[in-house]
Amino acid sequence: MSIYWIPFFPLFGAAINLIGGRRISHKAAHSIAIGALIASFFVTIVVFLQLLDVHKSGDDGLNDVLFSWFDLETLHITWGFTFDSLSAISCLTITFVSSLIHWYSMAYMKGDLRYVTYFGYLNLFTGAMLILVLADNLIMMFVGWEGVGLCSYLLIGFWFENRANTHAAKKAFIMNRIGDCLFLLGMFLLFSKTGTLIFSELADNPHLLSTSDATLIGLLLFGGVCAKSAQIPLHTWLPDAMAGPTPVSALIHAATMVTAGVYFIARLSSVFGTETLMIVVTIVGAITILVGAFAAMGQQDIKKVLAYSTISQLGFMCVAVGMGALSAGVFHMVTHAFFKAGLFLCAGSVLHAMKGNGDIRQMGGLRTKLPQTHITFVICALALCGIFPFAGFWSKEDILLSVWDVPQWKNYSVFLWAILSVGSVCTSIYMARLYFLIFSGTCRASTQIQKNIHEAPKTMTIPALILAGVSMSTIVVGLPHLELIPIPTYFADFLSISSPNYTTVSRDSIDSFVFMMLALILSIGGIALSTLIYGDNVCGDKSYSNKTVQKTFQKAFQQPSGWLLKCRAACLDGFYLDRVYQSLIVRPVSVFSGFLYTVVDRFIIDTIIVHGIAEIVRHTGQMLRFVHNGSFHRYVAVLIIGSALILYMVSS
Amino acid sequence: MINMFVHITPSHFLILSMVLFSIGALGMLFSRNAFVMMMSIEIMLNAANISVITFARMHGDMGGHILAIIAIAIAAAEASVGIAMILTVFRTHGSVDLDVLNKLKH
Amino acid sequence: MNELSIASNLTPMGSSMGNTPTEALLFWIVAILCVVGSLFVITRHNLVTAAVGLIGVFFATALIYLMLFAPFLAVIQILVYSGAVMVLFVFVVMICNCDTTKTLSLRNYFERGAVSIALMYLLMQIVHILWSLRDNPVSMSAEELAQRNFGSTKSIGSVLFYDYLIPFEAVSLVLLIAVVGSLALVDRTKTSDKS
Repeated sequence: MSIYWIPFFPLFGAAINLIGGRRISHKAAHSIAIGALIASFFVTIVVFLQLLDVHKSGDDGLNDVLFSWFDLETLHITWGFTFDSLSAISCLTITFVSSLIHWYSMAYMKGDLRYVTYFGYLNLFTGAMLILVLADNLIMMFVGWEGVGLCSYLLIGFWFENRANTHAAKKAFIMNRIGDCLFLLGMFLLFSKTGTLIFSELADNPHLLSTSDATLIGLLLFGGVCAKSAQIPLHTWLPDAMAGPTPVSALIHAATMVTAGVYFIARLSSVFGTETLMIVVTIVGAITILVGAFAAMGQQDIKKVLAYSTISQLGFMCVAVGMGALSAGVFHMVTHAFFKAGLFLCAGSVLHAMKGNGDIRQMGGLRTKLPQTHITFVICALALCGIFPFAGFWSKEDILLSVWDVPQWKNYSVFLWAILSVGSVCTSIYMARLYFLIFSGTCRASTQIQKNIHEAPKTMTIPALILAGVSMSTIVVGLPHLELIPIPTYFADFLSISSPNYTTVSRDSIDSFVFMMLALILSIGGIALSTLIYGDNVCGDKSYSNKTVQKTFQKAFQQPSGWLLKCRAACLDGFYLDRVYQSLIVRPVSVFSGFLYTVVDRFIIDTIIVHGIAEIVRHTGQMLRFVHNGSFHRYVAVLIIGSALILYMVSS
Repeated sequence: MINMFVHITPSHFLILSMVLFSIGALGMLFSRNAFVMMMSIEIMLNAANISVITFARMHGDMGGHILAIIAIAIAAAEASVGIAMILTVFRTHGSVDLDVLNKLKH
Repeated sequence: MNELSIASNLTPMGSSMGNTPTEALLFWIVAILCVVGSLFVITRHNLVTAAVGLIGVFFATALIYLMLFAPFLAVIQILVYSGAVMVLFVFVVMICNCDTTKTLSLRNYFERGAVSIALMYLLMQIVHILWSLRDNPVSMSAEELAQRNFGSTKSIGSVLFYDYLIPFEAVSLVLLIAVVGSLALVDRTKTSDKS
C-alpha cells in the first residue's frame, strides 16, 4: 500500500462533496466524507504496520514519490511523501480524531444549509493536513500548510451570514499570512544556503548551515510557526476563531492544525538545533503558557476558555521542542489532540443543549441533565490538568522533567520549571472553574432554555467518549524513561528510530518521582483552590457558602474590586493585545489606506486623470460641434478653403 | 500677345480644364439643387479628364487615356448611384433642396 | 483614322503644338463653348435647360479630345456622357419636375466672401503654374504620334488589356456594384413595405 493513498481519500471525498454541492443529499455527503476518512485511517494502519517491518530491518521510514512537480536547475521538487515515526504518529492521530469529529459533525451540523459544503471543507482540511505531515520536502509541506490555513479560514467563516464570523475568519487568515510571509522568507534563505529543501537531506547534512545562518533561518521559520501554532505575539486569532462550528474548533483549532507548528519544529529539528534559536523558542513558548493560562481564567465563554487553554498548551509543546525534548513535545501534541478535542466536543454538546449560548455565567447544574457529556468532560479535563493516571499527566510530566535535562541551562532551569508549574496550576484552576460553572450548582439559564435542556444524541456523545477513553489509555505507550525501572517506553523509542534527535535521556528515578509528585500536588492544589472559589456555587448568585474562608474567596473573586477587577478585565480582554494591534497597526494602516483612497485614487486618478481626459475631449467636441451643422455646402466650402491654405503653405 | 492666341500650347488646354473645374466647383458650392450639383460634378470630372489627356499628349503616353476611360466609367457609376440617391431622397422628403436636407447635423 | 482628326494637322513649332491659325480659332471656339455651356449649367433655373447646356459641354469636350489625339475617347465621351448619363439626368429631372430656387446657398456673406477669396486664390495660383508649363516642349510631334497610332482604338485596346487589365476588371466590378446599389436604393417595394 502506497503512502499517497492516505491523503488521497479525503481529498477525493472533498472533491466529490465540493463539486457536487447541493446535488448531493445530506446522507450521501456524510457517508462519502466519513467513508473517505475511515479508508484513510485503515490505509494509515496498513502503512504503519509496514513501517514497523521496515524498522525491524533497520531503515528510518518509507518513502514514496508520486511524480516530479517541477525542476528548476538545482531545485527539484517532487510530490514525495515520507512515512517515518513522526509522520506515522501524526497521521494516526489526525485520521483517528478526524474520523470521530466527522462522525460527531453528522449530528451537530444536522439540517444546516451548507451541510455538504461543510463536509467537503472538513475533508479538504484533513487531506491538506495529511499532506503537511507526510511531505518529504518543504515545498510540499507548504502546500499542506497553506491548504489547512485556507480550510481554517473557510470553516471559521462558515456561517458567514454573521458579520462577526467573517471578521474572525479574515483575522485568522491575515495573521497566518504574516507568519507565512516569514515562513517563505525562511524557506528561500534555507534553499539559497543549502541548495535543498528535502527534509532527509537537511537532516543528514547539518554542516551545510553555519550557526548564524541556521539561527536566522530558524527565526524566520519560527515566525510562521508562531502564526500557525498561535504563539505570542501572533496568537490573537485563535480565540476569535471560535466563531466557527464547534467540531471545527475541535479538529482544526485544537487537535491538528494548530499543532502543525510544533510538528514542523520537530520535523526540522536539525535546523532548529542552534542554541539562540532554542532559547527564543523556549522563551516565546513560556510567555505563551502564562498569557494563555491567565487569559483562560478570565473568559466567560466556554469555547474562549478552551481556546486560551489551547494557546497555553501549545506553549507547553513549544517549550518542549525548544528545549530539545522532541519526544515529550510530540507526545503532548498527541495527548492534547485527544483530550482537547474531547473537551471541545463536550462543549459542542453543551452548546447544543444551551441553544448555542456559550456564556458560562448562564449555565450550571448540567451534571444531571447531561450525564454522558459530564463524564466525558471530567475525564478530559482531568487529563488536561495533568492528574494521575490520565494521558495529560504523563505528557506534561515529561515536559516538566525535560527542563532539568538541558545541561547548558542549569542555572535557569528553576525559573523555567516555575513558569511551567504556574501554567500547570493555572490550567487546573481554569478547568475546575469551567467545570463548576457548567456542571455544578443550579442552572442559571432562562426557564425557556432550561426546559429544553437535553442530552445530545448518541452520534455526538459516543465520539467524545471514545476520545476520553483514548485520553485515559495513551499512558500505555507514553511512559517516561527512568533509571533502574524497566518500564516500556514505546513512544520515545519509536520516535528515536527515525531520528537521533529524539533520543531521550534516562532520568534519576528518585528525583523524577519527587518532581512528579510535586507537580501532581500543585495541580490538585489548583483544583482545590478553584473549588474553594467556584465550588457548588456561582457568580451572580448571592447565596454564598456558609464557610467563612470560602465566603471570603468567593467574594474576592466573584465580585472583585480594585486591582483584582482590573486583572480580571485584562484577562477577559486577552491582555488588551487586540487593542494594541488595533491602535498600532490596524488604525495607521486604515488611515493610510483612507488617504490613498480619497486623495490618490478618488482625486488624482479618478477626478484628474480619468474624468479630466474625458472632460477635455467632451469640451473640445462641444466646441467643434458647430462645424458639423449638416450643411453640405459648408463642407465643400471648408474643403476649398483648406486646399487654398495647403497651396498657400506649399508655395510660400 | 497675338502669339498667345495663335500658338496653342498644352497650357491652353490645362487652363481650359482649370476654368471648367472652377465653374464646376462654384456650381457645387452655391447651388441648392441636388441635380445641379450632380451636373457640376460631371463638369469637374470632364475637366479632370481634359487635363489627364493633355498630359498624355505631352508625354506621348497612353496611360493617360486609360485613366480617362476608367474615370468615365466611374463617373457613369457615380451618376447612376447619385441619381438613385437623389430620387430616394426626393421620394421621402419631397424636395431636392440641399439646404433643407441638413439631417447630418450633430 | 488619324487623317480625319483635326489635331493631325497640328505641327510642332517651338514649344507650341505647331498649329495653323484656323486650328487655333477652332480651339478658341470650342473652349468658349465649353465655358459658356458650364456657366449655363450652373446659372439656369430650369433644370432641363441646364441639362441641355451640359450636353453642349460634353460635345465640346469631345472635340477637345479629338484635338489631343484621343479619337477613341471622344467617341466614348459622346456615347457614355451625352448618350447614357445625360439621358438618365433628363429622365430623372423630368420625374422629379422641380426647378431650382433663385437664391443661392451659403447665405452668410462672410462665408461667401471667404470661399470666393479662397477660390480666387486657388485659381490664380493654378493658372500661374499651368501657364508656366507652356514653354515645356511636347515630347513627340504629331507625325510621330500618328506613326505610333497614338490614341487609336487598337493601341488603346492593347494597352488596356496588356498593361491595365486588373484596373479594368476592378472598374467592371465597381460598375456592377453601382448597378446593384442604385437598384437597391430605388427599390420601391422595400420602401412601401416600411411605410
